[in-house]
Amino acid sequence: MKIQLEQIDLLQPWPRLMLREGYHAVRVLAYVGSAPLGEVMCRPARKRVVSQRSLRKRLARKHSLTLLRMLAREGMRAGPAALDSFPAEAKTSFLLTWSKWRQTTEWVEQTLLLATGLPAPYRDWVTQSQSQANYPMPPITVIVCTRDRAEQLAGCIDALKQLDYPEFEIMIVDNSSDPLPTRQVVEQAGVTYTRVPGKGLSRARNAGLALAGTRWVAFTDDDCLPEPNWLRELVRPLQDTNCASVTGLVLPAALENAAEITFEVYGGLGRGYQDRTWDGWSIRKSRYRPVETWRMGAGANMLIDARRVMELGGYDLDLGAGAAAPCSEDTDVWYQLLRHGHTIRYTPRAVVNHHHRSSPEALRRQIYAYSKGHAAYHWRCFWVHRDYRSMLHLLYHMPKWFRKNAKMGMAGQTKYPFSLVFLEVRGTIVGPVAYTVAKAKRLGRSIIERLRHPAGNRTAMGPVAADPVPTPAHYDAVDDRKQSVRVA
Amino acid sequence: MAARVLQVDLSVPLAPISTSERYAALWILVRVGRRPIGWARVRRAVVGKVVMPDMLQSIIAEQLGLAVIDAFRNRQYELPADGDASKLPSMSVVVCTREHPDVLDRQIQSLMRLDYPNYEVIVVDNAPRTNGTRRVCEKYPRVRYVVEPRKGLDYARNTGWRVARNEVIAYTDDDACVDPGWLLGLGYNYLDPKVKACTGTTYPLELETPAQEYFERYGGMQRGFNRKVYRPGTWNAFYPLGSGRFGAGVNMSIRRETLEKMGGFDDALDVGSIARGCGDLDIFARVIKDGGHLVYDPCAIVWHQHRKTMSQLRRQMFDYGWGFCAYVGKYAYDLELGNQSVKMLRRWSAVWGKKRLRKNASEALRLRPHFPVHLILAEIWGGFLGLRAYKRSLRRVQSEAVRERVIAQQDRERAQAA
Repeated sequence: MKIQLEQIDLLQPWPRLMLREGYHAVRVLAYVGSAPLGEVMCRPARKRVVSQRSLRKRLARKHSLTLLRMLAREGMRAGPAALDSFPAEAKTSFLLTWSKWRQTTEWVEQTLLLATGLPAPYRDWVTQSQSQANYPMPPITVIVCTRDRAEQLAGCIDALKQLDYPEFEIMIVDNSSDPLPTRQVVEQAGVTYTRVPGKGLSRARNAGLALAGTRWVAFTDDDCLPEPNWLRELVRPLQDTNCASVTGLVLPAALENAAEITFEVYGGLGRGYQDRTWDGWSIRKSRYRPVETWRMGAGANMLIDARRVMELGGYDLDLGAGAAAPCSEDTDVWYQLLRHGHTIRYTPRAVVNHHHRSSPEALRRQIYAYSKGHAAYHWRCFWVHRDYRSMLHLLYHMPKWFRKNAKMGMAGQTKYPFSLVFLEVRGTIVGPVAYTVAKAKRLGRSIIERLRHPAGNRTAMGPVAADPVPTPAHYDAVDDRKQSVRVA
Repeated sequence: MAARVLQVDLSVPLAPISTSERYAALWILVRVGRRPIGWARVRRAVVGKVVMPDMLQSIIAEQLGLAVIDAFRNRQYELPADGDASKLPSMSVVVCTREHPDVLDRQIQSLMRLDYPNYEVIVVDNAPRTNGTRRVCEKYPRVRYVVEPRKGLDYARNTGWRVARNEVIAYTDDDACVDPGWLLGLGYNYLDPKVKACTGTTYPLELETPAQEYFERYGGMQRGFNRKVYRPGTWNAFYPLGSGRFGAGVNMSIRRETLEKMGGFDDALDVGSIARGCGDLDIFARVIKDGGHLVYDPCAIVWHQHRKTMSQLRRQMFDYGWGFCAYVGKYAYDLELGNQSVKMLRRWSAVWGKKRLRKNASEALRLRPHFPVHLILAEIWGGFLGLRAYKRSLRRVQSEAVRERVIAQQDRERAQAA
């Protein structure tokens, strides 16, 4: 099974989309200028041509509300002059309301989604508002934490170098078992390189945060390809002064095999096409459910305030890839930021393309890791922050969800493989145990340290003492081969 | 838990909005020129210290996206194309007041800034005890000051239209502030000769206390963001009990000739009489019954200061219930309607009263934000007590009229004797 990925820009005349040989369906991602509107799946049956009529119908049915909201925003951004761009005879009798969604959808389908591109006033609004950017753009350090993926990292650095942003620095934090290939790639590219010995994504992230010279730090992964306007759009929500973290949309770079498609069915890393905001209230809102931090975004596409995260003690070393609970270190930090009253915003216009795992074994490993980390995160929320709703989630909502998934899998109502549900259940059981054991080990180590060096300088993190937060001097001492090359 | 009320206009470039720590939320009235298109509400914690235009646009697009597109598409921000400013009727603004000199001063200041070619302002001082109102009015040479010694809002309203010199009478309250485009919003509707009355929308001037927020949650005085024309054939099932949807007395206007023809407001209704309210609902129902069109136009905006304390609000709710049932009492004796009004009351209470009560009680039990149940009970209790109020009120008004006639007769005799 292969799915062809296509993009169309609604501002331009639509191209003729053909299903290529060997592919089963087309996933069409519609953009309005540079902003993604949403995707639709088309399965042309006979002639292998995606008809414009079906595309229009699907887009209207699925995304007309998003499109109208987007056009309203662009119209306002284009300024009051946009008001006069409407011809006087455009007056119509019915009002656009979502209670009359059928009529509204039809109107969108017939007047906005034209194969020749958006009609005149709307097109002008979008081009006008997207050409201007009247918000502050702070300097940013883009950190890519990498481990044993030199070839993919090269592509990522190439994409990062094409970013359209006034002032930013690329920093590669290398966590590899064998540093040589990564080093070669980085030296060729000429970007800042740091080697962090010891396995663990959180360790690498903490090192990156400590070494970054800027307050705002953007994270992406080595298997990701950011779009050129990624940073530009990622900093737009920073106009909210309470905002401590911004996340963006992660799209699949390819859906060429079953593993990649299954990962998208599992939920993928994308979080929809609507702007979303969370603040202190989202934590207090429900008495039965924890705040859905795992729906906020992905570590592959986030901007974070280094200062605030360092104040929290950095990322938890026992969460995150490579640790006992190999996921959810980002989720945990978001949760703590929310508890401190900061805001977290999701913007779908900051797009990163992610290469999913392409082999079934790698996918199984990843999903097992995700479920372990997820459960460990909930266990941590309960343990450290006394958030009983996380326990409710772990003991009631998640089993319910697994049961539903297993049932649907057995009935053949979902494409999500039955075996993965059991894998998830296993991970959910193992995760908290593994996390607790790791913390206990850490505690034991720290007690031994304390006995050996009674006057040592220690930093407490969570309920047990953790590694001290690394400082630049620390890493200079550890790795004397560290070299820094700044990108202009 | 206070909320800040402010407005933004999309037809001019947006400016950054700075917010104070005191407010938990922002209520932003979004307008395109003179036309309001909706409220955008945000928690202050979500927007930070200063709301930049870019973010404001995102918020508005998210909450009012369709309305914004509609407003742009239909050019609703413009004045009606067929409207000719020279044909606008002359207006008389009547403010009925009783011992509120400080808020009255604010109201008169806003009335002096009205954007309308031809209007006069009349302040009717109802049964004054001090000369505070007179002193406020003396500060403004354009304001005509009239005294109505008989206590009762509808007495004052009647005096107001009797002394007015212009074609259309616009009524507002002393505890409100009018928008500069208020009269224009009302006046344009009178270009259609069939329109006999026009009401506008009323927004909160401030939401500083819980009582004021509760009143807005109760429904407030807003009647939507779309212009509506009510014609004689379009009575709803609840007529005349449902005439609350036409508008409120704080923001209404009626043609003078219609008032003359109908004999003005019912003196036995509204604040100050024994039936403590609903003079406005009564006049709306009668205008439509009389064959005139009634227009609700959201472009005519009045900002009303709601009751600040909980006890004042409870009192107001009690009076609402009382006044409404007194109004029902009036139509219970209406021979044209026969037994209909009793049926209507039953239906009304079944649909609205019970549903609202049940919803609120369940929300309260679940500790969710809700409209306090004790206020609803106050309203229902007021309604129960007020059922016979109209008859008593009418008797008092009649006896008052007889007494006045007798006094007038004596005066005349005395004059003849002299």
